[in-house]
Amino acid sequence: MNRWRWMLVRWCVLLAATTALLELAACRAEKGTVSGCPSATAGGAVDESVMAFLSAARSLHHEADVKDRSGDRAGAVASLERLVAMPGPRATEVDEVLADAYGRLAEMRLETKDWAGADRDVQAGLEHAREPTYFRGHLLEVSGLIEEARAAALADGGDRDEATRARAHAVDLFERAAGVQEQVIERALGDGGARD
Amino acid sequence: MRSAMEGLVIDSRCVVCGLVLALSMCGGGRPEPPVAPANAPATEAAPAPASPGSTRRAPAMAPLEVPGSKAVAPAPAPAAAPPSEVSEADTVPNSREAQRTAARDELIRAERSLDASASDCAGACRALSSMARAIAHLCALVDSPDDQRRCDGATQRLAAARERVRQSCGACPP
Repeated sequence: MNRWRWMLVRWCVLLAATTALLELAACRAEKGTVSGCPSATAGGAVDESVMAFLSAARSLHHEADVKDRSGDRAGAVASLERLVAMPGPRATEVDEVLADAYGRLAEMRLETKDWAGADRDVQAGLEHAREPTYFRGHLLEVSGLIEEARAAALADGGDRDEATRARAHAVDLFERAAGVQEQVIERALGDGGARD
Repeated sequence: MRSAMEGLVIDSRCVVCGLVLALSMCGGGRPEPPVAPANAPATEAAPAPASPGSTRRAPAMAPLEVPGSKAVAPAPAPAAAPPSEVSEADTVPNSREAQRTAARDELIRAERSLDASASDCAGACRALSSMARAIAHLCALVDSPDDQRRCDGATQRLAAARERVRQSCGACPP
């Protein structure tokens, strides 16, 4: 009877695998629907390189968290620098991760008053967030913070003209950031981006 | 006899496992978000939907149950079976099969709707937080009547956005 039992089990596993593959094919056949279908991308293929990149990025974010919590800011920055230096496949998810990581790097550099470095990170991040997404809005927000901090430092140093210019630039950036996030909200809540 | 029964039990368990596995493969799919029209603001193009696989640092949003909330949007009820002229013997098994199919479809639709709504509200709350921070900084830098006008306009837009999010999603997490 054991022999029959194992035959049944094998048959069932085969049936399950076949059915699962059919279901997966049905998932991917739905136009643009990828969520819920494991590791599937909009292109239709299961993209292991994207999944590998996302996994590595997650690990490096965790590594940066651990280092940052233990007071090792330089180590945290180094972890994020490794993240943004990783070769990644061309995919929306990869661009979002990179934009997010550059934003985090810029915030860390801002705290150490490395404004030039922070600005470089923001500009690099914006290259990965050309559409008005949360990530673009956040990068603009961080850029505004950089200009705001720079304006304050310039004013403290007596350079009033340059401080005024930096402050005006900061106002522009904050306004743009708010505008992007407003669009993101409108889009998310389903009115197609219409404005009041 | 006992062995035959055991075999049947295992057979049944395997079939159920197979079906559950197969159904679970596609259970979490979400529908394509709506496409933005061309009347987006001049400064930025229409936003792209957030992708599901990114490793974001932003806080997650728990869907809140409020009247009219996107997060609790009910799935449409399955359509009633059309009248048929075939005999009852033929109808009953077909009807049961149709009910099973309808129930399965409804479950999938509801799950997708829930996933999409939770994701949309999380994204809206995250964007709202960023918008509020940006406007707070903008208003803190007011140094001229023009700046004040921009601050006032942005604050009004923030209030409208906040109300829109509240109506659709309830309160955002702190």
